[in-house]
Amino acid sequence: MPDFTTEEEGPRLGEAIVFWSCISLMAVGLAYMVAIPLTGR
Amino acid sequence: MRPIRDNALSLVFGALFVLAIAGQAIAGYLDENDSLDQHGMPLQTFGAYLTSSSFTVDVAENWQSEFLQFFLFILATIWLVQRGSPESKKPGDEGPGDDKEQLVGEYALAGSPKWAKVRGIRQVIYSNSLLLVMGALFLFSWLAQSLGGTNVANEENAEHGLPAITWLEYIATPDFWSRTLQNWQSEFLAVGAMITLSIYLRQRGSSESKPVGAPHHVTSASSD
Repeated sequence: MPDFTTEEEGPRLGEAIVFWSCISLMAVGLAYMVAIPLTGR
Repeated sequence: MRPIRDNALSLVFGALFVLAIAGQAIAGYLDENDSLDQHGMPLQTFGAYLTSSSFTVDVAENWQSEFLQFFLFILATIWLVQRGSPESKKPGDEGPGDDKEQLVGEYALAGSPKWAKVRGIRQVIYSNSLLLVMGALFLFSWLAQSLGGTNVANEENAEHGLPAITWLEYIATPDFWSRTLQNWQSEFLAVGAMITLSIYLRQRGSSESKPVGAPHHVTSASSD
């Protein structure tokens, strides 16, 4: 297992923003790519 | 600008993704219209191309293989090792690890995620959340590829006066498996190359490499 030590500083907003932005981007992209063929385009 | 520096890796790859998919959309649109022109058919608008199965199937077939790659890599590295590779745990460490190593339940830290501190189904879900999400992304991308591919195949069938096929018929066609496997083979080769090349090769300063002076047989910086 890799060495794991906690960060001295607490969590910041930045990592939450990049995480949820990534999840949202992928969810929207997948929904779009599933929906387009279902509309018969 | 500390927030930028702290998240630089995600931001750079996010920007590269946007540039690459914009480039793919433009190149795909021009290619599609070239093909329509050669067949003497009316040209498409850019908006019509972006909302067509031709575009979505090309995007989805690459997405599914990338998420499958990470799904399998995460799964395989639980139980399999490669001596000398920084991508692997060291031999003898195979398996999911005990609660103390994993900092769960009574071994959780004050700052540990809430679902790591509790026992039961929530801890099981959170303990496997990365694998579960990668697996779901793979399955949805593969589904999107198959749905888009069915429409594209039916457009080509209509041009040639052939009958339309169902989704179930399409996923048994060579076209579906050719699109699928041509992506899988490259992903598996790339992962295998990363695992094996990093035994003997180094990149100073990269988290994907052992330290330059680490012996070849050492599996990671923390190995004995």
